[in-house]
Amino acid sequence: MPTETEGKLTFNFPEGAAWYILKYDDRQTPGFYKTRMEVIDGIKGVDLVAGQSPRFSQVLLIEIKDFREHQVELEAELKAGTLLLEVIQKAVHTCAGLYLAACGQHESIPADLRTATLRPPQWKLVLFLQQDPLPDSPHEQTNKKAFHNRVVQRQDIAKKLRTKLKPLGIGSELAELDQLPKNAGWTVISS
Amino acid sequence: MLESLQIRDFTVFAKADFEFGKGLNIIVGTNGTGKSHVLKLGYAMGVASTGITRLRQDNQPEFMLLAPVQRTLRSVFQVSDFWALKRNQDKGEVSVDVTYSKPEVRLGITLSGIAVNEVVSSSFRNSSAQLTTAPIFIPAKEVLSFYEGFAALYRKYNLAFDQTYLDLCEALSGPTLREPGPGTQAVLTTLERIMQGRVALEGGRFYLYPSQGERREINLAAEGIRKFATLAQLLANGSLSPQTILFWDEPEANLNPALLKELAKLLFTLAGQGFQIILATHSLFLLKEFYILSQNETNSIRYFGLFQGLNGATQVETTDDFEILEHITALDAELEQTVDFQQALDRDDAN
Repeated sequence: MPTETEGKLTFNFPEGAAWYILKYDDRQTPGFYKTRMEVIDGIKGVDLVAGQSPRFSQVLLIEIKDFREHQVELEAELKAGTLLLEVIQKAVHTCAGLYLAACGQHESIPADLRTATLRPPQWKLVLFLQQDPLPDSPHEQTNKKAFHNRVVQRQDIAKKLRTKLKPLGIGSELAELDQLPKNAGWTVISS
Repeated sequence: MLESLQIRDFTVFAKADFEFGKGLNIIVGTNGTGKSHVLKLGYAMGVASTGITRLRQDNQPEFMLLAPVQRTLRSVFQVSDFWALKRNQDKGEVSVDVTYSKPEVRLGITLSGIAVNEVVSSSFRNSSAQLTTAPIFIPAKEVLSFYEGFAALYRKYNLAFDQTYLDLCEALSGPTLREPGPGTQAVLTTLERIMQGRVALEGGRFYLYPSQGERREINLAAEGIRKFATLAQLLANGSLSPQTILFWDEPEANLNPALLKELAKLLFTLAGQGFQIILATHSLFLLKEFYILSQNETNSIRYFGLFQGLNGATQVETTDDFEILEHITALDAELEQTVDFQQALDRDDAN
C-alpha cells in the first residue's frame, strides 16, 4: 500500500488501484522541484502529488497543514491571509513545475505523469488542514456555536481557494481527518 | 430588459461597463463603491426613457427630450445640479449609455461643459427611446408604514426622500388585477403564506388581513413582513411584471435569516419567470442562498463585484460564477470574525 507520512499524519493509498505518490518537496531524494524550482527565490511546492497511473486523469496536489496545538498561529495566518496565499502559490507553482519537468523529460517524474501533465489532467488541490478538535463545553449552546463557527470558517476558506484556483482550471477542496474528499479512496491516520 | 449600462466619469466611476443578465443580477461591494448609484442610475435612465417616449408620442421637439433626463437624475440622486454627479470635477464629461432589448432601445446622454453650480448644456447622443414600462425601485427603507399621504406631501414640500420613494408609492397605489398570471399567482400565494395573510390598500392606508382574525394596520406588522407586503402589492396590481425591471437596494434589511431564505427563493422564482431583477446587497447569507438555489436550476445569476481600483475609481468584476467572484467584502469580514468568535467562546468557557 503506497504510504506517505508528513509529521503526525500518514496518508494511505489503496493497493491495487495503481496509485502513484510523489513526495514533491522531498528533501531526502531531491527531485525536479528541489533541484530546479526551489532554487529560484519565491518558488514553492505542495507536499504530495498523487494520481492513478497510467492515465492520471486527475492529479491531486496535496498540501498538508497540521495546525493542531498551533491554533494561535493558524488564527494569525488566517487573519493576515498568508496561509491561503501560500497554499494557492504552492498549487500554481507545482503545476508549473510539473509542466516544466514534463517538457524537459525530467526522470524524477515518471513518464506516465509527464504525459498526463502535457495532456493536461484534471488538477485538484487538496488542502489538508487539520485543526485542534473543538473544546467541549459543558454548555450545549456554546458547543453548537463553536461547531457552526468552525463550519463557516472552513467553508469560507474553501470559497477563497476556489475563487483564485477555479479560473486557472484547478479544482480545490478542504480536507481533514474526519472529512476526506468524497470518493477519495485514500485514507489518513494520525499517530 | 436592461442589457448594458456604460458609465464614464460619473460619481465614483471613471469607466465602468455593466452587461446585465436576463434574470437575477447581484451587485456587491464595500460601502462607497457605488452599488446604490448603479441601481439609481439604471432606474433613472429607465424612468427618463419612458418620459421621452411619452414626449415623442406627443410630437414634442427634440430639445424637450432633455427635460425628463435632467429632472429624473436630479430627483433620484437628490442633487440640485449635475456638478455633484461628476466624478472628476476638473476634466472630462459625464456620459451614460444604456441599452435595452425587447424593445431594442439605446439611450445615451452626456453632461458636458459643466461649471460650478450650473449646467451649461447637456445633450443626447442617441435618443431613440421607446420604453413604455417604467422600472420599479425598492429602496432599503420600506415605504408602507408612511405611505398614507406621502405622495401629496412629497409634491408639496421638499422632503429628505429621493424620487424612488415617491415612484414606489405611486406604483403601489394602483388597484389589483382581476387575474394575475399563473406564475404571479403562485408567487402571491407563497407571499401570503409568509405574511400569514394578505395585504390590502383601503382608504389610502395599507392593512394586513391575517388568515384568521381582524385586519391589522400594516404599521403593526414587522418591518420585514412589510417588505414582503410591498412585493405582493406590486405583483398584485401589475406594477411589477416580467416587462418591468426591478431594482432593489439591500433587500436583506430588516429580514431575519429564515425570511431572507424565503425572499431569495421568491426572487429566484421570479427571475425564472422572466423578471429581470437587479439588486445590491451586503449580505453574504443572501449570496450563499442564491448560490445554493442556483445549483439545482438552469437559470444563471450574474454577479458584479465593485471594488476600488488603484486610481481610486470603482472597478467592476463581472462573473456568472459565484465561486470565482472575488470582491466579496463580507467574506473577508466573516472569515476574520470566525477567528475572533472562537477566541471569544474559548475565553468565555475558560471563565
